[in-house]
Amino acid sequence: MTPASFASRITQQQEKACITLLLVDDDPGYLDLCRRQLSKFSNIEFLMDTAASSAEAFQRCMENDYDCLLVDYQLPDGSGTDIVDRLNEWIEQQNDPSLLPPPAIIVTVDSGQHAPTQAIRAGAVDFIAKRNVTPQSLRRVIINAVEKSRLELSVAQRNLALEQAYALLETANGQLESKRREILHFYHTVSHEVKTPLAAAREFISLIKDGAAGEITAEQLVLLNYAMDSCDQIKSQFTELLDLARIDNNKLKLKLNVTPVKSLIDRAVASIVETAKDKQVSLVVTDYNTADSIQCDSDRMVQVLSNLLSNAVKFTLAGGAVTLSFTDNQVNRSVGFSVSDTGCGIEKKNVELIFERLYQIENSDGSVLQSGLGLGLSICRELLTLHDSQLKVTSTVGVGSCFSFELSR
Amino acid sequence: MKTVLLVEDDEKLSLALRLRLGHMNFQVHSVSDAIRAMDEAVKSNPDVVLLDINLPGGDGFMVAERLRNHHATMSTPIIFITASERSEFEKRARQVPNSFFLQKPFDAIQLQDTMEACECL
Repeated sequence: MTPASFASRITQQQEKACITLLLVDDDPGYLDLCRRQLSKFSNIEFLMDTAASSAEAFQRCMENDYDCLLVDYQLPDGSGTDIVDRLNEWIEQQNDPSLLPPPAIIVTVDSGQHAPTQAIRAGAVDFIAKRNVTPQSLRRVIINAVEKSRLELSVAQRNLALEQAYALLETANGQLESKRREILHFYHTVSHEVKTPLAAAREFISLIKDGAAGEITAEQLVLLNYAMDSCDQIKSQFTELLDLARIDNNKLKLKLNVTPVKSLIDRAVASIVETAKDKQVSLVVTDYNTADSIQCDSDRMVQVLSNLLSNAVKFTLAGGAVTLSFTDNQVNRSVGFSVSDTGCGIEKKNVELIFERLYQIENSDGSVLQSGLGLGLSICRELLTLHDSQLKVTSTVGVGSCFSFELSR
Repeated sequence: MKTVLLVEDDEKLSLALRLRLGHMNFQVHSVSDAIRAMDEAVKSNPDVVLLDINLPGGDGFMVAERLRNHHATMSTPIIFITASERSEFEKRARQVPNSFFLQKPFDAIQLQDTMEACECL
C-alpha cells in the first residue's frame, strides 16, 4: 500500500504467479473455509492474510501490498464498505496519480439488493453472497477483480506517461518560445548595430554624389548609385529578417484600417516603376473601381503588392510585361488582386518551395538566378494569413506566373 | 545662418551628418552624449536638435524631456534619429511636442523634408 510499492508495480507490470489476498471476517470458521477453498488450485497460488475488523484490515493494508481484499459486509466495527471508503480517502490524500487502492470484493450474507448496492456504490469492485461461495466462484471473482484492477493500473500508468509527455512538451515549447524571443532580440540588436554604420556609408556616398567633395563624372555617378543600391539592399534584408522574427513571435500586429484600393496601388506601383522602366518591362494596371476600399494594414499590404511586383519584374526579361489586375467579388464582398508576368515561370515541383524561407530559384547549372535572402514570398504569405487571406500561385514554365489573393471590403 | 545641434555617438555618422548639414548651409554644433547635449543646447540655443535615441549617459527621450523643461529650449524642434525598429520608440517620440522622427538609414531628401517640416529651412 505504500506509494513506492504501488508506483513500482505500475512501472514493472509483471505477471504474478500468485495473488496476495487479505481476508476480512470476524468469523474464524469462515476464514478457514475460504483458505481451504482457495488452496485447491494447482495453477495459481493464493497468499492469504486475515483481519477480524475493518480497523485491523486498514492497518494491514498500510503495511502490505495486497492484490485483492475479500471483505465481509458485516464487521464488528462497522460495514465492510468502511474499509473501501477509508482506503479511497487515504489514497486521495496521497495526491499521487500512480496510486490505486487494492480491489475489494464484499461478501454479503444473502443475495438481496441492499448490501451489494451499498458495496458497489462505496467503490467495491464486486460482491459475492456467502451462500454462493464455492472454490470456483471465489476464484473467478478474485481473478476478475485482480485483472480489472491491473487494467486500471495500466490505464493509470498510460495517463501518467501521457501527462509526463505533455509536461515535457510544455517545457520544450517554453524553451522554443524563449529561443525565439532570443532570436528576435538578437536580430533587433544586429539590425541596430548594422544600420548606424550603414546610415553613415549611405550619407558619405550621398555627399560625394551631391558634389560635396568636388565634381564627379557621369561614370562615377553610375558606380555611386550601385553602392547606394547595395546599402538599400542590406537595409531591406534586415527589415525582412526582423519581420519574420516578429511573425514567429506573434509580435507582428496589423493596424487595420479601411483603405482606398487606389492608394495601395499607387504606392506599390511607385515602388517598382523605375526598376521596370530600367529593365524595359512594361507595367500594366488594369481598370478597377477607384472608389473601392478594403480592410487592411495599408503599409503591410503595400509591402505585399510591392514584393509581388518586384519579383515579377525581376523574373521577366526585357520586352515582357507585368500586369496588376483585379476581380470584384460581390458575393463574399471581397476584392481580388493578381500580379502576373510573362517571365520564366516556375516548375511544378518548385511551386510550393518558393514560399520556403531562403529559397532561391536556381538555373539548370545550379547557379542562383537572382540575389536576395529569399524571404520575400514567405513574408507575403504570412502577412496575408494575418489578413485572413491566402496567397495562391499558378505558373507555366516559359509562359509566366500569376500570384493572387483576395481581401475583404 | 541657422544652427543645428547634432547629438550622435557614432563618430562616422556624426561626421557624415556634419558634412551633410554643412552642405545644407547649417552651422553645426555636435556632441556625442546625453549630458553634453543638454549643456550645448542651452549654450548654443540651436534652431533645431538632431537627436539620436541610444546615447551614452542616458537616452534621447531623457534629453528631450530636459530640453522641454528648460525655458531656452522649450519649443526648439527636435528630430529623433534611430536605427531601432521598435515601434514604441516612434510612439514615445510622437508624444514629445514639436518633434519629428527619422529612421536610420535616411537619405538627404528625407532629412531636407523633415528640416522643412520643422520650419528650419
